[in-house]
This record gives sequence, structure tokens and C-alpha cells, in this order.
Amino acid sequence: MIRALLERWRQKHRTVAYPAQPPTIPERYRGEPELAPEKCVAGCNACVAACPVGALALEDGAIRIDLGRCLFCGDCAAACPPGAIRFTRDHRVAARHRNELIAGTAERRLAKTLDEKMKSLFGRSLKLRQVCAGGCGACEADTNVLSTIVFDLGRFGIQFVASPRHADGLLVTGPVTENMALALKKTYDALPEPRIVIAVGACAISGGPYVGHAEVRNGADAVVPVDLYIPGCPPHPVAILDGLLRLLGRLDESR
Amino acid sequence: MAADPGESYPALTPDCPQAAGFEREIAEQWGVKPLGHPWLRPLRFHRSYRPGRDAWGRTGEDALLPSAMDFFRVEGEGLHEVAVGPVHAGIIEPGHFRFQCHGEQVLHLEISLGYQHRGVERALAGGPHPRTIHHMETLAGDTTIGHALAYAQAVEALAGCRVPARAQALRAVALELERLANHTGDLGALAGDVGFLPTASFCGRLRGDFLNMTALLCGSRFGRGFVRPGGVAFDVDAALLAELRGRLDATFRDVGGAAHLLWETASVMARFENTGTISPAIAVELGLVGPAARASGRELDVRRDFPSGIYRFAQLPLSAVDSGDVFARAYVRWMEIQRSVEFIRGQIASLPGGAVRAPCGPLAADATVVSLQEGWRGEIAHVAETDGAGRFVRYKVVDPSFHNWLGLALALRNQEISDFPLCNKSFNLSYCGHDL
Repeated sequence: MIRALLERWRQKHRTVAYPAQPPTIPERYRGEPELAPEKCVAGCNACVAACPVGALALEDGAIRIDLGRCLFCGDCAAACPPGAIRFTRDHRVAARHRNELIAGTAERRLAKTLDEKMKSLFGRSLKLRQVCAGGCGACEADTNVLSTIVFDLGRFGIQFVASPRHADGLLVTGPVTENMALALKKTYDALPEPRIVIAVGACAISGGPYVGHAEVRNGADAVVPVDLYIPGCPPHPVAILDGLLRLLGRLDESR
Repeated sequence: MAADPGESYPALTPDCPQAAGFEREIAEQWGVKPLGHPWLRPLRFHRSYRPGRDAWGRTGEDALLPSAMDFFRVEGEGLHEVAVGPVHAGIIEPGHFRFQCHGEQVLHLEISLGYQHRGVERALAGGPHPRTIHHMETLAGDTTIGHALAYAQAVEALAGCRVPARAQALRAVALELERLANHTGDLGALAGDVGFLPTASFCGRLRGDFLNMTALLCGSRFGRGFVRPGGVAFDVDAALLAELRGRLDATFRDVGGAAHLLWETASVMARFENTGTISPAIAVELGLVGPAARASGRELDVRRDFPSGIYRFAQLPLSAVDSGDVFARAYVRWMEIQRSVEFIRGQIASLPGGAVRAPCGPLAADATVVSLQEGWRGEIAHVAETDGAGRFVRYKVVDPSFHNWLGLALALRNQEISDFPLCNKSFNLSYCGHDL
């Protein structure tokens, strides 16, 4: 017992100061892209060709990246000689609607808060049931980590629960395999209303690296309606937390 | 390499139980029946690769529902069945577990997977494609480096590419960081499953500290984007190495403190010892790999037995104990944590100079390559076969979990059903690595 206490004293309090302080993001992290289409060389298609999942398009002199598909691998930036694409360290990538995930368009925006009624229900207490539907384990791991002492999700009133009957919402990962589509639908149906759905990671938004495979449904919204999209492969835990807190109106919308 | 077995062949499994999963896989993928297989059931619940050739005679119109099969049943007075999954209580991958119980005692556990099947191997044929490396990095997300490395090595062998020494060393550093993160997380999860919160809490954080060291190298906590055919995509400088060394030392100190609490706490050891025991003989019969095999006294480690890259020059001592129980599987992890830390310290102290990536050209035509790596769960095997144009005709992936799931099922025999989470975590197998 005394050893456990001594070790506890030695390892100290380790919960991050975020959101009061800015989060610690790795130096080489690839977050929200910054696009400079004016640098594009006429006729060059190198970024589009480099993208493994078809997330990029060049239209009318604009570069558009569908962050719902993007694996944030950086292959497009590496393939672009004039440097028209750069991945910043900005972790704020979540959005409420699918069309708000397209970087390089006027629709791209930070995730907005739930409407007043839903916010009054869930803003200070949100119970989530997680369903992995073909996810590789990375999105799941970086969602799970939010419940550790590092992020201490409970301090925001958010908690992962074991039964859909106890949950206000679903957090879905994975491209939704054919073999999980029924289980996902049944779990959703078991949630009491009103309910929300959060899609975490490129797979759950668009199919990710598996988009177009006959064995998957190309994302959660083929089976259930989605209220929040959090891109990444996988998203950094802070990116997931940012999305959840924005949805609940717990962050300053202007920042 | 090809053989036409016709519709069926005499099963190998009765004489060689290690073949059980492979023969089920062959039956499911190609519709070829192993006659006399003791338990021929689909593994992943997908359609045959050869339309019209289904080993179970399922027609094209039927929906293929996962776990739609007969389970092994024990019948008699007081016996009952417990079904768990595919959706589980925690944030974990889906799978179905069917227990045959007498009271609290588990007489038999059957594990039915396939829910995670994404059609990876089918998509790899005809490659390498731009997406291939991303399929490799997501075969099993917690083994991103391990699978990417096995793939890169296969491609480099086919292309005759010589990987610079600096890249070889950095790859091994990343592979050992992956091992450290997962082993540390497992020690914490094992503590959590016996209700011992100090170690559970410490290790939850410390696992992330190791992931953040991987992110220091490449920006991704799981090592996405780091390993590429020809070498690695990111170099390091002296400042980064010093930062890595400092973090490694501080984190290792804390992992040691957290791990020792386990071994010193009688209530933890009472749950770990003699729970979920796999005898050395069973470990051989099933062909277990990795820490699960080494915990049952099997001296197997790809880093020692088939070393590649920097492991040809820098060896790690093999970590094995022989009690085969949950304690053994936990303690092997702690031994490996210590050795991986020592190994990384050695590598960053004497990192070779030079480039970190060499050009990797077209692949040899009509060639076959076998590539092995010791991932944190054990042996990762990739086999690639190319056609006349140097494209993959077939690319086969064997995740260590493929060998070890049956080990978990047998570890549960005659155990209390309440010890299932603990036994499960002591193996901590991959669903998506199995389902592909």
C-alpha cells in the first residue's frame, strides 16, 4: 500500500491543461492543410495523382481536399514542387456537415454547437457508446486514451458507457464492413431518442483506405445519420476532444 | 508456386493442429475442402474468391451473415451457453465469443471472427498501388510499423534495393517503440482487469508517452508515414535524438515503478498466477507466436531466429518464462520492455550516418518473397508473388493473431468465466489483423 502511495506521489498529477492552455501537438504533426493555389503550375496534376484515396481535386484554379477522405499522409504536399499544399499543426478539423470538410472551399468551417434543445440535454452530460465497424484499432485507441488520466474526459461530463440503452450517442469508427453493418444499425436502434452519432476517422467518414471495397459501406452515414465528423487517420486525441467540446458548445466558437 | 488440388484434399489438421486456421482459410477463399478437418467453419464470412466454388455450398443469393454457423455445443444437465459480441462493452474491436459453461466454469470457448473483414488481400492483388502502403499501415492499427516494415522488406527484396544503415536503425527504433507502447498499455489493462487502479492509471498515460515518441519521429502516434520502401520518410537530428533519449529515460523509470507494483501486490498476483495456463506442449501444437509463446517456454523470436535490417548486428536477448499463465504473459512483456529500452538507447547512441532512403525500383518478375518481422504480438509473415510484369499476383498476410486466437480459446478451458477479460487481455489479439 505504502509503495503504491509513494509511486503515486512520485508520478504526480499528469492531466493536460487543455483546453485552458493550447494543446501540445507534435512538431511533425499533419493537421488542417493550408492551400496556396496561386503557386500551382499550369497543367500540373501531381498532387491529385499522388493521393492514394482520391481526396484531392483541382477545379477552376482551386485546390480542394476532402478531409473526410484524406489520410493526412502528406504525399500530395511532398509531390508538389512549388509547395502549394502544406499541412499545418492545427488540430481543429472536426465539422458538422459533410460539405464543411472540403478544404479550399468557402464551406469549410469549424464544427458548430448542437442546437439549443440538444445542447441543454447533452451540453453538460454526454454518454457515448462506441462501435468499431472495421476500424484498425488506431481510432479506437486514440478515443480510448481520452478516458485516461491524461485527458480525463469525465471532467467535461463525457463518458463512454457499456450499453447503448445508457447512451445519448454513438461514436463510430471504421469503414462499416458488410459484416458489421447490421450490428451497427441494431446498436443505433437501441439508443433512446434523441440521439447523436459521431464519426471518427477517415474510415468512418468515407471508407478511408478501404473506400470502394465491396466489403465495406464507405462510412457510417451509409447506415446511420451522422452529426459530427472528425477527420484523420487516426485523428489526434486532441482533435477528437476538440470536436466533442465544440459540439457541446464548450469551446469559444471564434477560436 | 501453384498446385491444383481439385475440389478437395486430405486435411493436414488432424496430424498438425497448427494448420487448422490455414485450412479453414483456404476453404473459404478458394472453395477447396480439407477432408477430415475436425472443425471446418468459415473464418471471415466472405464470398469465395472463385465464384461458384463455396466449401459450404452456399449459393450466391444468400446473405453471408457473420457467425451464421453451428457452434460447438456441450449438452447436459446444468450446462448453459453464453454469447458475447460482436459489439463489446468497451472501446474494442468486434468479435463473437460463445462459451459453453457449467455454472461459472467454462468447458469450451469458440471464437467467431470476420466482422472486421475489409477485403485487404483481394485489394493487394495487382499492386503495389498508391494505396498499398496505407493498407499495410492499417492491417492492424497498433502494429503499423510492424506490418509496414514487413511489406517494405518484401518490396525491397523484390526490387533489389539496399536500405541505408541509418534507415535500418531508425526502423528498428520505431518497431521497438511500438512494442513499448503496446506492452505498457497491456500491463495497465491487465491491472485494470483485476481492479488494481494505480498501475492501470499510470500505464494508460505511459503508453501514450511512448506513442508520442513515435510522433516525435514522424508526426503520427502510430507511426503512419514513417516506414516507406527504400527506408524511412523522416530523418532525425541531434536535438531530436536528445529529446527522444530524455523522454525514453523518464518514461521507462515510471513504467518500472508501475510494473513493480504489480509483482509486489499479493491480490494482483493471486489473480495472475495459475490463470489461463497454456502448457508448452499446447503452445507447440497450436503454433503460438510472440510473447504468448515465449510465456509458455517457447524460444521463438524473429529478431533472433531470422534477423533482418539492423537486428543482424544488434541482438536483443530472448525473453521467455515457462509457467504459461497470465502472470507469464505479463512478465514476458515487462522483460521485453526493459530490453527494448536498452536496445533503443544503444541505437540512438551510435546511429549510423548517411541517407535515410534509397530509391526502390520496379519489382522482379515471376518471383516469390517471404518477409518476417517480430511485431509486438509476435511473428508477422508476408508472402508476395509477382507476375511477369512485376505486379503482385497474390499477397498473403499472416498477422500473429492468426496463430494465437486458438490459444486464447484453449486458455479459457476450465477457467471461471469471470476470468475471460483477464485472459483475453493477456493475449490482446488483433481482430482486424485476423480478419484482413
